[in-house]
Amino acid sequence: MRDDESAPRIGQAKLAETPPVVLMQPTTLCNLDCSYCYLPERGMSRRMSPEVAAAVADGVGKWSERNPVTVVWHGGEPLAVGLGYLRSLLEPFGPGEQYPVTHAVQTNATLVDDAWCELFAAVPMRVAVSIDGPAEQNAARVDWAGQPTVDRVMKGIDALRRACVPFNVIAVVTDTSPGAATDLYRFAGELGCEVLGVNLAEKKGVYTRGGGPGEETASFWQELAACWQNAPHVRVRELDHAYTYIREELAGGADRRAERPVVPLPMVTWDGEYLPLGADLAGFSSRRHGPFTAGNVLRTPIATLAARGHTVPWVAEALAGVAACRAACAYFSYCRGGQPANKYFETGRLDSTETAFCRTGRINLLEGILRHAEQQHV
Amino acid sequence: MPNNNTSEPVPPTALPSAERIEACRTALEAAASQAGECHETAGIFGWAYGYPVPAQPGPEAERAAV
Repeated sequence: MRDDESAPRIGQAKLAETPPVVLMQPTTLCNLDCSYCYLPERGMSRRMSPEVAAAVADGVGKWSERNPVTVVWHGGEPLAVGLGYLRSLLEPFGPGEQYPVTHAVQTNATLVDDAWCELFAAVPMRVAVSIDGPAEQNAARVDWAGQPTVDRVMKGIDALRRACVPFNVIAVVTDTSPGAATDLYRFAGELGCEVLGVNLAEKKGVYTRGGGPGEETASFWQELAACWQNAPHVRVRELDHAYTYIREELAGGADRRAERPVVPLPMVTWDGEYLPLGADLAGFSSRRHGPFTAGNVLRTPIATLAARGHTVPWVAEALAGVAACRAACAYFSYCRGGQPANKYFETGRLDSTETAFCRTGRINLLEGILRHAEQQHV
Repeated sequence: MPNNNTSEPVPPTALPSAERIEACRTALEAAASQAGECHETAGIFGWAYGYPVPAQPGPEAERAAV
């Protein structure tokens, strides 16, 4: 993704044209029914057609003339389509032009076996597994019969380890009490994952119960930062993000960081609908905007959809939200504008500013890191 | 020094983040030197994205892809 000065400008927020990542939804179906899941159609099996995959592959090939592109197979549970079918969706994608096209998959790992590992190694596909920490932290991750799934997840992770397929982990954290971060980081190290992503439980999509963790999250992040710094053998996605900002701030580059265009993170749904950003809005509609889509890849080339994405009213509203954050928030050069889906699900609008996600997942994270550093400084 | 969690609330500081960062430059530079590069995150998948792309393709570009 280039810092493209010719990118469209909406207020102060620009949307870059060529995305570094494309999320694909090979199916709406998930074989699990996690209680905090935001996805609206995870009980229904709607599969992406090879024609949709081919249309995306054509655009991805063109984008790879300008920057590397990663195709992330998401879901639902992407492995629920079956190995042969996912392979058929992968087929249209080439290796890339000037830059590589690579593949990744986000999975609950319950279906991972030796055959899947062979595919992951052959393509190759990078793998990220959803698991919330030690067994007792996975009570929300149940199947449609309400049965625990952690043993099946661990069996899938064992298959990955046997096949020497490297993997990352995403954990949804509901317990931010003292000691929880230590337990989570230790667990990630014992699993042998490369990167740990930490999502604090949040009100989003069809999951409306939670306000999620509160003010104590600064202490959670402080503890996690301390654990990682004492033994940095597992990278933590959120810490990498915050320390990247800190490096830029210390180097005097925070203003330049704030100036960069919004990086698109498009999602292509099972039926070809294209969302330039706010991937977690896929499958939802708003009263003002209708379905969250910027067009369909079966009717319009994906490169065209990407190029004019900023003109779609709901996307323009989200970009205005980024501009509003820049005008109002002291943390803008760090956060760069919040998450559209969190804004929509918390406030009903995309041009709002600070959300609970901003406080717990961004501001309190930086606060935790700074408290840790200040304790060291004394 | 191990930095254990505490449930006691810490009073918010009036100082801007940039000043607090500068005041802890040594400690933060040490920590940041061990951290990876990650310009954008999205909760729904397990990788960073949005790395600045080097001028020419090659191993750095490949690493930047995910």
